[in-house]
Amino acid sequence: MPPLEVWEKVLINADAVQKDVHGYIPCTQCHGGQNVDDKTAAHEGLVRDPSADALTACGSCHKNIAPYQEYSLHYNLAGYDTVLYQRSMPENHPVIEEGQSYHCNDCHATCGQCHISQPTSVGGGLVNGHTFTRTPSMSRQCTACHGSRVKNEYTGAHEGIPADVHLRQARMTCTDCHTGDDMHGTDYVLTGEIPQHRYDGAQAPACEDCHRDDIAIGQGNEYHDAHGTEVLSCQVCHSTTYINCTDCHLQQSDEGVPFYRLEHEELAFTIGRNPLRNSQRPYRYVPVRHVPTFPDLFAFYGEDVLSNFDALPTWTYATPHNIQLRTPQTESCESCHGNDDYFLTPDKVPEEFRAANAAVIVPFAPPLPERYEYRPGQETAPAGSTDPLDAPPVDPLDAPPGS
Amino acid sequence: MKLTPLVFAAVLLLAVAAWAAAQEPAPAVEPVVVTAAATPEEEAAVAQLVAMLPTIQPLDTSCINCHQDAELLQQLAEEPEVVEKLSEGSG
Ligand code: HEC
Ligand code: HEC
Ligand code: HEC
Ligand code: HEC
Ligand code: HEC
Ligand code: HEC
Ligand code: HEC
Ligand code: HEC
Repeated sequence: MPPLEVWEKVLINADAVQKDVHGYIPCTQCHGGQNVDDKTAAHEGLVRDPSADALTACGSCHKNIAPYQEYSLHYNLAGYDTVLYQRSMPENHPVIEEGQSYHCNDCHATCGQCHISQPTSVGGGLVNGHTFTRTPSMSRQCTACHGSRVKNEYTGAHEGIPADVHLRQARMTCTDCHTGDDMHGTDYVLTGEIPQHRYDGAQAPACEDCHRDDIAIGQGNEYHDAHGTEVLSCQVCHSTTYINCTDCHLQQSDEGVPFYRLEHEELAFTIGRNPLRNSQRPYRYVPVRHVPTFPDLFAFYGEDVLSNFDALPTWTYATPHNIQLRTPQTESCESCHGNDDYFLTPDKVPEEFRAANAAVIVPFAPPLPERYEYRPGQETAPAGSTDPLDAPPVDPLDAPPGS
Repeated sequence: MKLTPLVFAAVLLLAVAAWAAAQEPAPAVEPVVVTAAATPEEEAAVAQLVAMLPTIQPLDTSCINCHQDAELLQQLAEEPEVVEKLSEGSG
């Protein structure tokens, strides 16, 4: 999709607009400005994106959606505050907010950026002649923002790694799995809770929502039978190599243009302990991804801003979007059991980051339980199994056994 | 005559109907007579409805005429300053 010309971005399809129920609302009622022929005069007091205040622009009719805008992570970006504040101290929050005001402004998703225009981060522009489309466009709206990580994984953009099976085999788009309720903040009506992070609350979606029958115990799939559904997240076996980023710096050019520099990116697949273990995510092990956070992330804006850096791991809970039926780690039981290559063993974590990552580091790859024998239809955890997590805590600074 | 029972029934029905009609009360509803002017609230409501009439059709014709005219938009478009991409790495 070539980028839109400046004029194409603002070209409306008047016929389609007049057939759309929203075409009965005068342009100026939403956008301000004036209904006159001179461009400059017409644009006086113009509001480019009326849906930045959805309650005013949409709330008179969309009473089930607009009032919850402020609870939507897409709108409030609370997820970033949650992790940055935990790594910091209250007295540093204003510096973080200042940095965010330069670097995060284009990331807030308003109604318009999913239903009318392309996101601001790619320069805006009408997607469908100013009709209000029910289902957002995967390529021009969702991945315009989720462009590097999710898009590259889902579409198989990394060399040698196939696209997600849901795209290859079933042609599924983002919105086949991610619902409007998930994006609108309206889940609040059901749960009474305002999400503070993307992995808060129930999994949305859960793989089981669609695959309940495929994972039932006793169908002769030894992998499924041996682990049930609570020891490993599905992605431990069904996702593959994904991007990991380190050392991000936020900066501004001499002209004050904000930008970032990412020092290091690495493709890898790494299993760690589950840092978010709870009843809704009971897994002992999950894939973990290195996030581009860094003690000096905010160095341009202040000293020692992330003064509590070790409060959270730098390898975080991950749900990569490159699901496959078979993966290198499931070639056999022993390609995973006993194989440190796939696990976040201490040697993979630089010494200065081991304290932060204590909750996710795996002392050594768990061996296949001794005397394990497959009896179809039965979960088989034999007595005396060697479970590294049941072993006495290992000092992560110690070398792992056998290394 | 064979019809006698039927004629008898018809006469009976008519008699009953006449009796029923005689029992009907006078109409309870008096015709409405407008005596007072509309209250300010009522007037405001009407004014509001009238004010909404133009919204039945898109009246911002200047906005629409310009924004549906590809040639005119090309003439009026101002190329934004090209901002160098400074960020490095996938964001
Ligand atoms: C119900 C409110 C509403 C009405 C009525 C409305 N718009 Fe919009 N318009 C929006 C929203 C919301 C956006 C998306 C802005 C965004 O996401 O950045 C938008 C986007 C646009 C854009 C593209 C801006 C960009 O950079 O992507 C143009 C041009 C525009 N509107 C012109 C018009 C014209 C002309 C009319 C009258 C025919 C009109 N609008 C009527 C709400 C409205
Ligand atoms: C005057 C009332 C009104 C306002 C204001 C309004 N809408 Fe709507 N909108 C409707 C109605 C009615 C429908 C349902 C149309 C239908 O079901 O066909 C609708 C449908 C939609 C749809 C689904 C379209 C589809 O094809 O199913 C979206 C998305 C939407 N509106 C977004 C918005 C946004 C964003 C705003 C604010 C910028 C907004 N609307 C403002 C009345 C309104
Ligand atoms: C304007 C940019 C933008 C657009 C457009 C956008 N996103 Fe997002 N999305 C974000 C940001 C930023 C976050 C992180 C919010 C946070 O953690 O606070 C996010 C978070 C998410 C999350 C996790 C949080 C949640 O609410 O579940 C999902 C899932 C998601 N996006 C899917 C989508 C899909 C699907 C689309 C298209 C329908 C889409 N996004 C469109 C920027 C965008
Ligand atoms: C991050 C993307 C995203 C944002 C932001 C977003 N929506 Fe949606 N919206 C969706 C998705 C996904 C659907 C479901 C599409 C489908 O059913 O195919 C949807 C569906 C809808 C619908 C039609 C179905 C329904 O539930 O009634 C309306 C109306 C709507 N959105 C209005 C809004 C309004 C108003 C806002 C701003 C307050 C908004 N949306 C913000 C992604 C988004
Ligand atoms: C086959 C189903 C499926 C499809 C298709 C899908 N996702 Fe997801 N997505 C998931 C699951 C499962 C999660 C994890 C949800 C949870 O744990 O709460 C997730 C989580 C996310 C998250 C939050 C976690 C993160 O990695 O940041 C984002 C953002 C996201 N998806 C974006 C997208 C986008 C954009 C698309 C389309 C390109 C897409 N998804 C397509 C299943 C899907
Ligand atoms: C919204 C429904 C939905 C969700 C959520 C979903 N899937 Fe799927 N999945 C499908 C469909 C549809 C197919 C295609 C079925 C086919 O090709 O036979 C599929 C195919 C697959 C396949 C390939 C099966 C085969 O026989 O080739 C695997 C493996 C898989 N999904 C795993 C997952 C995992 C792991 C998750 C969670 C991250 C997940 N799915 C989430 C609907 C879903
Ligand atoms: C220990 C590794 C492992 C775990 C954990 C795991 N799977 Fe699988 N799964 C496999 C393997 C290996 C196959 C392929 C077997 C084959 O080739 O027939 C498979 C097959 C599948 C299939 C295809 C089934 C079919 O009948 O074709 C689906 C769908 C699937 N898994 C979904 C899931 C979901 C959902 C979860 C999480 C609840 C999950 N898997 C957890 C290893 C695993
Ligand atoms: C992708 C990695 C992976 C693969 C492939 C895998 N396992 Fe596992 N398995 C694990 C991990 C991690 C655990 C958890 C060990 C722990 O609890 O510390 C585990 C646990 C187990 C357990 C104990 C379950 C319990 O409830 O505690 C058994 C039995 C087992 N695996 C057998 C197998 C068999 C048999 C196969 C091959 C058919 C297999 N595993 C393939 C990673 C894997």
